[in-house]
Amino acid sequence: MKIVVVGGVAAGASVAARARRLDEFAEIVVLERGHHVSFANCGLPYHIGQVIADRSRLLLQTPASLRESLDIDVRVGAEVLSIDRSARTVTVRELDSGREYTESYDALALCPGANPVRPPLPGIDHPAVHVLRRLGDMDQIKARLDALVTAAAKGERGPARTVVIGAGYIGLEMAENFQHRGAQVHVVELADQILPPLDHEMSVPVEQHLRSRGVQLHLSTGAAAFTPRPDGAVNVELTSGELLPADLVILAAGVRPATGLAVEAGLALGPHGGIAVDEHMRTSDPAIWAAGDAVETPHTVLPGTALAPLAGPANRQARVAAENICGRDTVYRSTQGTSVVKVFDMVAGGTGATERQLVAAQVPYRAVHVHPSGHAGYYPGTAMMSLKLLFSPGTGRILGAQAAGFDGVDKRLDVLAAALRAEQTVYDLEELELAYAPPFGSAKDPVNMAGFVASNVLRGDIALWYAQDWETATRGARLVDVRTPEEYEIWHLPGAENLPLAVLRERCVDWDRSVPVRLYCAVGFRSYLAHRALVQRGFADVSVLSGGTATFRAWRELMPESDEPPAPVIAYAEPPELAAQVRRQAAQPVVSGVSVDLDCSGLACPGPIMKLAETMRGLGTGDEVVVTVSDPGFANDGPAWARRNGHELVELAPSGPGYVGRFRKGGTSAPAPTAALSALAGVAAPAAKNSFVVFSGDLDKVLAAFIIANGALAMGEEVSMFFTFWGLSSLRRTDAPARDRSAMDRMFGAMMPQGADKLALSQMHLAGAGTAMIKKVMKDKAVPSLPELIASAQAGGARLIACTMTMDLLGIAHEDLIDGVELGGVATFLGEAHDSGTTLFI
Amino acid sequence: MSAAARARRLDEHASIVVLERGAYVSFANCGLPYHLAGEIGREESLLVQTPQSLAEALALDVRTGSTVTAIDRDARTVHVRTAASEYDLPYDSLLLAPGAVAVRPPIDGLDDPAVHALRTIDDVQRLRGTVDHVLATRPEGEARAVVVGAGFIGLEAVEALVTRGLSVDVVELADHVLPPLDAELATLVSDELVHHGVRLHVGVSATQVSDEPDGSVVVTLSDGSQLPADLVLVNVGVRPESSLARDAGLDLGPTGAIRVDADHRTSDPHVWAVGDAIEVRQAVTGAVGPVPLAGPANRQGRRAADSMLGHRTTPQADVLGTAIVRVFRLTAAMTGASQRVLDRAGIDHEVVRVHPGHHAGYYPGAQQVHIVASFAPDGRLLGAQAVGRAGVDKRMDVLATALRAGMTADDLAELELSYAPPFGSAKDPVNMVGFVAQNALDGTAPQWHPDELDEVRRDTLVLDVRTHGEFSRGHLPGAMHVPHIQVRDHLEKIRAAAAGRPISVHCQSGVRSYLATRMLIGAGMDARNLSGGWLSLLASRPELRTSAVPTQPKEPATV
Repeated sequence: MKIVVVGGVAAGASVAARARRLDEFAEIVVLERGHHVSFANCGLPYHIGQVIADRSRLLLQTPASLRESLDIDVRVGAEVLSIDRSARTVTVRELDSGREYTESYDALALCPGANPVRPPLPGIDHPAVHVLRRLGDMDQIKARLDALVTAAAKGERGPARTVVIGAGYIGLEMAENFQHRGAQVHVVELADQILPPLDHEMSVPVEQHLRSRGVQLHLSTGAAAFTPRPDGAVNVELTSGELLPADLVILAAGVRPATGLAVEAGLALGPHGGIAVDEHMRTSDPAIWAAGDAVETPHTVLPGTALAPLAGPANRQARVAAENICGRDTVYRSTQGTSVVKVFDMVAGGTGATERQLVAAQVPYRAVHVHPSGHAGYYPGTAMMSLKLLFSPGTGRILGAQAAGFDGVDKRLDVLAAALRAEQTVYDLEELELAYAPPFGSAKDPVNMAGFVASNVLRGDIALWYAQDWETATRGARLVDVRTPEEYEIWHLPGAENLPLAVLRERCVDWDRSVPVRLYCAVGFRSYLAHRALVQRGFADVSVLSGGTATFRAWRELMPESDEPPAPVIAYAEPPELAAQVRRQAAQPVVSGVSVDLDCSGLACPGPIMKLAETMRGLGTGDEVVVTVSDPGFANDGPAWARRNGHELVELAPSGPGYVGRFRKGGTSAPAPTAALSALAGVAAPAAKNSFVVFSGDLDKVLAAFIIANGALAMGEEVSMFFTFWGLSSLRRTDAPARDRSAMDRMFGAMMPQGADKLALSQMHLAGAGTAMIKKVMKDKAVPSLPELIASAQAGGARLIACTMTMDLLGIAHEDLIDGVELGGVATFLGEAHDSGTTLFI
Repeated sequence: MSAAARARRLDEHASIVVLERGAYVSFANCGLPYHLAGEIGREESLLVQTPQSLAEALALDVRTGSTVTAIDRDARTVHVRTAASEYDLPYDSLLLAPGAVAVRPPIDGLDDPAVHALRTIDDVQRLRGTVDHVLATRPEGEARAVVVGAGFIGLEAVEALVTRGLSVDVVELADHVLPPLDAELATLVSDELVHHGVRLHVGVSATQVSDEPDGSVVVTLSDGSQLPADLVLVNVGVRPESSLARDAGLDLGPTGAIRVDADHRTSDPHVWAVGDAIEVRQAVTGAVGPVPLAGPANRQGRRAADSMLGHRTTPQADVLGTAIVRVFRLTAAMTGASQRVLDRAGIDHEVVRVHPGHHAGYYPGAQQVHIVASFAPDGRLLGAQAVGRAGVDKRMDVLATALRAGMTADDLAELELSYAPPFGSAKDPVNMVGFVAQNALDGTAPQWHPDELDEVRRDTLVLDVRTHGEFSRGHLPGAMHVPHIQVRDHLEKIRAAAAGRPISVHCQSGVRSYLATRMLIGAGMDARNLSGGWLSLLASRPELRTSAVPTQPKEPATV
């Protein structure tokens, strides 16, 4: 038995090694065109980045080590020129000597790999333009970069300017490693997103992360030409017309299977241009096998075959080829395309089919998005991830999964890859019993969560709408944001009304049940609860935004300009620019010197903003909060919140998955000297304060009181509202518990309106018609209702104080009032009024 | 809590009352040891939900401080006692989720104020108080704690106490720490504990806690030794809290756990039960008994709610017993049946052991993952355990998924897992387990195991194929030494030395000896490969660490 293997890197070396282990006496010859065998090609970018410092670590085997331990005859610098299939020989040329010879075989294994795509662009042969495939490529790139870095360190030149063309895995790894070496990095990608194995909304968080680390992304842009510059560098001309001067250009636009030898020998190719093989990895010639990047194999999910230039499948294909060459009957079933990449602090990857591929192949599917954290939120060091699951609408079989995040992403991908391979369904994912302790996961693992949501979809317990269908899904529907008022205020979908769950349960009573309701929250959980509440109250058409605002905002980034909904609050500018903008806009408060550290890591949804607002409320103008968050969304939320509330965002620096932000409290009324004095005395300066006496029970007057109160809160001021006499009606709860009362109390109780929704107008009440009209007009104009205004004021920190004297007088008990109302007497009110700049009697 | 939340989502109009004896609901009990260590700073972060938050989000009526003292199944009421009052609460459906109670071991002086438990927020508050006090009053480095019970929570607490600066003794009745882990992997955990200054006392029990005049205590062990301590933490396991169910006449299993059907319904059709108090069927062995784990408890709650509301009735999957613990820098994890469980159940199995890096060796920071997995003769995965510094949780989750899917060695070999140098290898450790199991089961590379060492040394030729350096640092007495790259050149010499006996090959981790085994088999010899190599041998037979022969310049068998 004589086995000849063409190619000695991943697949080739594996074929030879496995064949030797199965057949101790076979003659095994490996012919490798390059000068190295079995090197770690996935490690090449990291040696350029000096993450892997020692080059020799990349050489997994040498011809000598393969001969010693496996008795394999490895010949490097040996190019196979042709195959004579009838004679069963190959013609070999020694590249160094030029000598040609023939080598006979009983079995031939073709493992030629793939070649980087070199588009025929003008100037592509410029010495600054490189591909990265082999050790020699790596050495050239590294030598050039080292020289640039050294010169820059000596002050002889600026930082190295690099351009990476192609934002696939290798392109992004190169970008990170260039950045790591202190180079400027531009990434140019023809598609409208990075990372083709991910769907759009999954790639956006990674794009944001790249930008936050200073990498310039040029999406939907190609390279058009390379023109030499006088300084020895090259100008990369983009299809957008932009010119990028570059000292080093990497072409990472993809690879093509190296099938030249197979084509010349007349072997059959597959529909994608790879070598066609059967399940034994045998080509159309029974004496020739093939494995690795040059072959196409069946896809696990999609119909037909696919090229998958991945190391894992290459190794296993090689193993299967060797086993069959050595007379065993082993089958290679399929490739599912599992892949992962580290991009700075982020990790992203996928397995199975993407949504794009399923659409293209017309495979029916459903999708769910979840955003759990990598491990228990209360244990430090975790962050929210985005997890997308694609599954069959009929059987629930898993068709694909993608994940992007910071910790625990590769683990979930592997679990989902195993589940997909086992043809598991979303119901199986519910039942997976994964390892849980706080540093590693949650009792309900992210994979379980995805299974729960997907199963709920298939069982009809939840209906979803999707960010990409925003316009059609919400047309003619009531759009309800069930997050807290604070979250709503920072950013919300245009046209959405804000009704947190507790309020929604009460408010939906008089809604038309035939009008569709589209719900959303931050990640999909609270809106799921709201969905259940509405459906069981008889609403016919209710659905929930898959993945919540987290997924929606990722999608929005990619929508063409024309589809952009008007942004109600946030301009999607770069965080640093936004920060600068905020700095310009904010009235510069005098720095008080007081600084409070706030650790919000591990907090998500409603999240760090709530904590930040709470902390800020206790501070004086000019005081600072240094907040540490692990929520990547803070880059948007933090600056927006600061701007809305008149605070200054002093700085916002990326830190791990999240950010460290320094916020300085703004404010209009507290004079700086007072703040400074209080700071010296160790007492936080009081914010501007407003007190209200709400005496009236008329709807319009109470509305006015709460509108002013909410406005004051929004300006960062404090609000105390003292409710006395008829004003108390607005604080009565509608479902007060029954209790024993005197006849007089009962009478008063029955005569006074019970709760905010029952108040009438002071004028034009018209036996109820006027009041109903004004409520309708308010709703049409999207003015919040009184119960919403009250909830919002309470959430904003307003103190609602009920007059105990009046309560005694009218027979109202504490439990008759809505939650969160304090009780107080005249002294309480006078105390509040004394500290207040504004006191209103309504 | 999971059941109540799920029930609300399924039925918006049901009246749902949650009665909790303690002061808290839905707290993160798995986080308690980390709170003790200070890693989780804020106590409120352990409170996953509060009665208020549950009322708001889910309209649940949560009553803390409410103890259910009796169930009247005929009247369908439960009797509730609070600090202020007692009342009967009627029900249509009743769910019992009473959890487990700590086992009280027979120790004199167990009620001494120095003795602590770690099951509730109250426990951790009291323990933190004692730790603070002890650290404040004792000279630095002299504060001492004795931890009785070296299970999962026990070891997490040990780490927390050491982190806080206490000197810790651990007492464990079983013959090794982490009793559910097989002994060969527990050795690695013991080493890690000892490395961090923890003193281990295994195979003994605590019998007495007695007060000393200075406010400290002395813990007396069954072997008569005495350990001085400022605080004692007892955590010897839990048993199902099924007294309420028993008093109500519900069926219990032989272990005292509440017996339920696949929908978690008890012997009373109006009563369901979930969590640590019920008995479940374990995968692989089919054994029935309580399994106190958070993950299954959560999913049982969902199931029970579905069944209570007539939503669906599909049977609950058997429990795999997937568990994980971090002990200082090490992580130990398991799923399915351990070797000991398989042996005891008389289930035929082949064990494979691998020690690959958790990611590509050439990428900085690679750490060995030690995996032990058991397979049925037909190739089906039966259980797996792993210990290492990184990447252990990932491999265990993949193996747990494979086990649940009924995967075989062939399937593991074919798994297509995510690979980039920072995360794994083109041949992931899980693939390696599959490869080795395939080779062992199909006869490509028959194995011998550490527990066969005595017979192997008596009846076979031991062939050590490691390098000279490795051999000189310690080897089996009488072993023949031929580095694996020289085996081909010395086949006849080896054949002669074997003199008709089988050849038992080994190297450091099992890879080079696999190559050598194939060479010998190819040459017609009867060769077997030591599963897991010298690493596993030392872990299984710790006595070899001292008895293995270090280098002897004129070792006759060395080539």
